[in-house]
Order: sequence, then structure tokens, then C-alpha cells
Amino acid sequence: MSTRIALVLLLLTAPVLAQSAADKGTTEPDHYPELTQAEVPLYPPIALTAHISGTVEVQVTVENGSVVDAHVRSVDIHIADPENRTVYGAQAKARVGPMLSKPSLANVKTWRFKPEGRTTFVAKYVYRIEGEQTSVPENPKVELDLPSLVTVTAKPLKPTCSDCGADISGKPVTH
Amino acid sequence: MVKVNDSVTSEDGVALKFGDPGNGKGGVTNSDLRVDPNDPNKFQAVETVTIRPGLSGSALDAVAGHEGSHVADAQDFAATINMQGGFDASKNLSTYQTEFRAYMVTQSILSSENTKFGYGDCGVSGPCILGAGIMPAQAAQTINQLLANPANRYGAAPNYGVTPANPGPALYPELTTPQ
Repeated sequence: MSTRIALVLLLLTAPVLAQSAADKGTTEPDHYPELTQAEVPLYPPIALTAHISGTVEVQVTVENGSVVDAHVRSVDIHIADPENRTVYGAQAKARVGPMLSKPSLANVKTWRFKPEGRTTFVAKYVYRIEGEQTSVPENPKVELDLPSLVTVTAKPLKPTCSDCGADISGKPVTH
Repeated sequence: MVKVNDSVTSEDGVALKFGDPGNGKGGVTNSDLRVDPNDPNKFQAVETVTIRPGLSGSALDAVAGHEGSHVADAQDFAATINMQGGFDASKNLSTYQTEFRAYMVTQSILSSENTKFGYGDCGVSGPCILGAGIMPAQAAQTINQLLANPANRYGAAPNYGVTPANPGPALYPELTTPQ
């Protein structure tokens, strides 16, 4: 399978000063711990195939370089109908949320940091479906502004066509 | 049994249209996936069947049955997908598998209507004959020849033909390994 990885790594390896928690009203540290290792996140394949996109906020606590706690703080889901006729309600979005939140949590748990004291911050995972349809699965574009923002952008999948190009109508045979 | 409706907003997600099937000369089926609008705990195949106008009798029956088989294959797989990221990959059929099954339906319909049709090119023997009087083993062999011949265009470029060894992509190519 041909693969093309468009991976944009914006690893902010030096500790980054953040606005104070009071200014932003969020759980943000005075500085982010320095990331040393992380697995590349991908677009969950079922979510991509079923046109599910959205944003997941994960609250992460790091101590001595390891993630000691991570939990989902919020999930904002968008579910598209291929024909743009069905509008999905809050119940459907809540049910589908784990399709994006579980992989986000799993990815954040692969992060390793330079050992230091205990720090808590929010990591945001943004899953987008954009661009021209593709009939062959491609690797997503992954943008990492770590450890605060992960953006995974995948192209929409073209519906599979059976019998395109073939003649299935046939002709009567008399003998 | 596959039900067909005139809009994908219908409960089962299947739409049937009579119109230009594009490059497909008799009919085509497009398969997509969505969260089931009636039950957000499930996923649903979104199937759009387009059949060329003007077909009638056994020709129409055979095309409708053939495309209906593709619809059923997609629905069967979609029903295995769960919200935990699991699915039965063995039901995400390859091009070869779903075409073979669809042509076995074609064979069954033509036999039951006591008629025979020729499809595509089976080499020196001419068109691939299916229908009345064709035994199941012979039908399977004929279908394999039909699907394998690149001239009949059941696969995609560059090979065009599909076989058990070169089965082509799955109905949902992204969903081959459960999460």
C-alpha cells in the first residue's frame, strides 16, 4: 500500500510560558513540562468512515515525567450524514463521543516528559475531515503543538462503488 | 431481505434510483457509512443503487438482484461495527468476494426464470453464460473467469481483474483492522 505521511511536527521542546489560569479560566500551568516522547496520533478509522469529527479536551497530570492521570474534560462532536439530510442530536453525539475521546486518551498516555514536579494542563485533540475525497486510504496530516494542541486532519473517503466500469446487464442467450 | 427506498433518509439507508449509472453499464452500488439515525448505538450502511433505465423482465430482475446482493453485503458488515471500535473484518468483503456472491444471485434468478444471459468476455468461449441449465460448480467457474478477465473491468487499475489471490479492496477499505 502506498503511503504518504504529511507530518508536521511543531514540537515546542522548551517549556512554554502560558497565560495564567486566572486569565484564561482554564487548567493551564505557568509552563508546560518538556515533552521527550510521544506516539503519533491517527484518525480513528471508524470515525473517519462514518463522517465523525470533533474536538476532545483531555486534562493531563504529569509527575516526574510520567502521565499519572488523564481524563476527558469535554467532547464536542460533529456527525455528518453522507447525504446531509440527517441532523444528529445530543444523544447521538454523546453516544459517539468515545469514538474520538478513547483514542485521544490512549495517545496522551504515550507521552513522556522531562522529570520535574507535578503539573496539570489541558491537551486539546482536534479531528478534522477536509479536502478532496479519496478512494484509497491515506495517512492523515498530523500537526502537533505539544503538549497543548494536536490536530489530525484526514481527507473524506469516497464511497466504494461496486460494478463501476463493468457491464452487469448481460444479454439474453437463445441457444 | 433487502428493502429499497427512494431516499437515503429511509430507515434502512438504501436508495434506489433509475438513471445513468456512469461507467457501470447496467447498474452500480455506492456504499458509505453513517451513524444509524434511528439508533445511535449502531452504524448503518448508506447504499445508493443506480440502475440503467430501460431494463425489463429477467434483465431487470438479474441486475436488481445483483446490486441487492452488494447492498446486503455492506449492511451485514455495518451491523458488526460497534461503538467500542470493534467489527468483524471477515465480513468486510473484497471486490472479488462481493462480486462472486452477487453473480451467484444473478445465476439463481436467471435459473429460476428459466433463462440464460451472457456477460462480458470469457475468452475463446465467448461471453460468460449464466442461468438455466448451468450447474452450480460450472457457474462458479464461469463467474471466476468473468471476474478474472481484465477486459471485464471488475477490478480497479492497474490489474482490472479480481481473483481469490488478487481480490481487490474491501467494501470499506479503511476498516480492515479493528481499533
